[in-house]
Amino acid sequence: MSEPLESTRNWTVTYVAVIASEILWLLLLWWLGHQFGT
Amino acid sequence: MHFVDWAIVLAYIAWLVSDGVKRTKLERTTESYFLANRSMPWWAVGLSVMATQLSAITLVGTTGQGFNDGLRFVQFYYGLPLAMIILAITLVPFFYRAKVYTAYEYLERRFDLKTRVFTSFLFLLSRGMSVGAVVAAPAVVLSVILGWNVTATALAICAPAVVYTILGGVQAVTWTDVKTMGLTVVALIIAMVFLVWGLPGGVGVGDALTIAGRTGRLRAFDFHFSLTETYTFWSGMIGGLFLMLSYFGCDQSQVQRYLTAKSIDDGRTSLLMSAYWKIPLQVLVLMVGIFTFLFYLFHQPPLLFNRVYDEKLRSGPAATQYAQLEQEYGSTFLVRRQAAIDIASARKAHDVAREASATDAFRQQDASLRAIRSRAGRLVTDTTGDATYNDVNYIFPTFITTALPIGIVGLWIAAIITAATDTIAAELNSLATATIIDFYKRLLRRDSPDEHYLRVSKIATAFWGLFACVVAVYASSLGSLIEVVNRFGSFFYGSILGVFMLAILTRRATGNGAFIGLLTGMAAVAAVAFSRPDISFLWHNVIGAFVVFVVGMTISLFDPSGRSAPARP
Repeated sequence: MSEPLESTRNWTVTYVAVIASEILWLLLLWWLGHQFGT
Repeated sequence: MHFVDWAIVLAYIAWLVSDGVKRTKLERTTESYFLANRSMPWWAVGLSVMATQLSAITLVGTTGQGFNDGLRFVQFYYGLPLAMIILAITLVPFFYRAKVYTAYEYLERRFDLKTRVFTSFLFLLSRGMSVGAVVAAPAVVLSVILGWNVTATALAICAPAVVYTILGGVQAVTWTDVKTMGLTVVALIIAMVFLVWGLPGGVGVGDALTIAGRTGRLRAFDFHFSLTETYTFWSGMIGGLFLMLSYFGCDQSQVQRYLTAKSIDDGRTSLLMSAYWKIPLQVLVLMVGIFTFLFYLFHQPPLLFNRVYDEKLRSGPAATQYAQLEQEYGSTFLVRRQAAIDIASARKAHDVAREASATDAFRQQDASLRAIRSRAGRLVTDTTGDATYNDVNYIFPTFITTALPIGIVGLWIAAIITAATDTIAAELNSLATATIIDFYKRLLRRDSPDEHYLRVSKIATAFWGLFACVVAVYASSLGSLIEVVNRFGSFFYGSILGVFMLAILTRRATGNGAFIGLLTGMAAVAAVAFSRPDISFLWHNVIGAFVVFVVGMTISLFDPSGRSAPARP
């Protein structure tokens, strides 16, 4: 079975989700430092 | 180590090797041996990408960094998710459409043979030496902590990887990576449970985090812009971005992982798995280090975590001074311990004034303890002549072997050994691929039957395995040579990225432009590294890529050959 050589899905939403997840992790780290670090 | 722990370590390694041997039957062609017939599921490839990056030193060294500096190190990875998105959009589709075995093979299609051969040669040179260092570093730590012979430890790490990579090819490498990632995460979570459990009554997780925060260990952001600091937000976001682009986009040991995926979409998804999970995984590793610091606030740790040096000082000419330092260390430890308990009880009583005074006392005693430890370090230097003494890699292994119960110790030692084994296996597999595809098949024997190439591929894997074992065993005497080679490696990492940027971002770039740009970029990075050694290596990648792109484009514009290839293969 040969797989397609081109992408078969729209990736924009996935890329936005990756960036959103990084922002969420960074916010969590910021909160951790802010909550316990002062 | 208890025999139960030995049994766990041996059984786990035996399982890895036997599973690799089982996959021998599947390896009938070079495409299956090197690329698994491009049939691997995305999640296995994604875990393999993460396992290849996670070496044994990540487990022992990064936890030590968490112990000493807290979350600061995580900033190194802030550019990774963006790098993965850029690679998913740019290089991944180019590699898949070109149906290449190596990243450098693509450069011949786009530019010329000399660019391909030179970049592949640089890869072989740097990875060939670094694979020895990947074995040697954990071998030295494990030999000190467990009292094993360092040569036997290096061979115990190296040999299983060589066996299953020769026999099982990339499939054995990938499925072993999957197992090791599972084991590593389980081992980290178990360690975390024991660390939290080890907190004394009256000190909760919130109190512990407060104490860690008061020592600055929960600071994950440093917005100060500096070319000389590696662990800042901007170094991670910009320098780290270029490093990750180079590592995941131009280094065959990573490119080969996602070339085994079924399709472009699966290749992209496998890379994006790291984009989602690398930062949280790194935070987990650092948090284990931070909680090891908190554990040792209440259970007195040794003054020196490196047992060999501890014994040398005890029996050496500085034994009296060392004993005095230990006494001072013990009494200061007790005062700091009490201050930590006071912070927790003041927090519970919502007594802000008492919490502030306990925090001041704690910080004062913590600084005294650090000073005592650095005096002990100077004593090590004076006694042994080791001017670079640093016991960061010995902190967490000491916790494993002295504080964890029988069974869990074996699990952890197996995790550390196989983290090294996996990284080596992926590197051996990619070294053999570049050797056969970019040199042997391209330059020496172009039209032999596939069975011949499969046979020599296994011989190439065995050769690189033997080379890695020899470098690892003699690493202590080759120390400066390895350092030179690693430093040389940092000169061209970003420069190779610059060549790939020329390949895919512009149609006008020519082979001559790319090749001269590459040489100029390497020279520029070498000049910066020697004239300004204080500049962080993360910025070398940015400088290399930028110089190659600018010089390569300029030469291409005046290149009489005027050869320009289409940007899409």
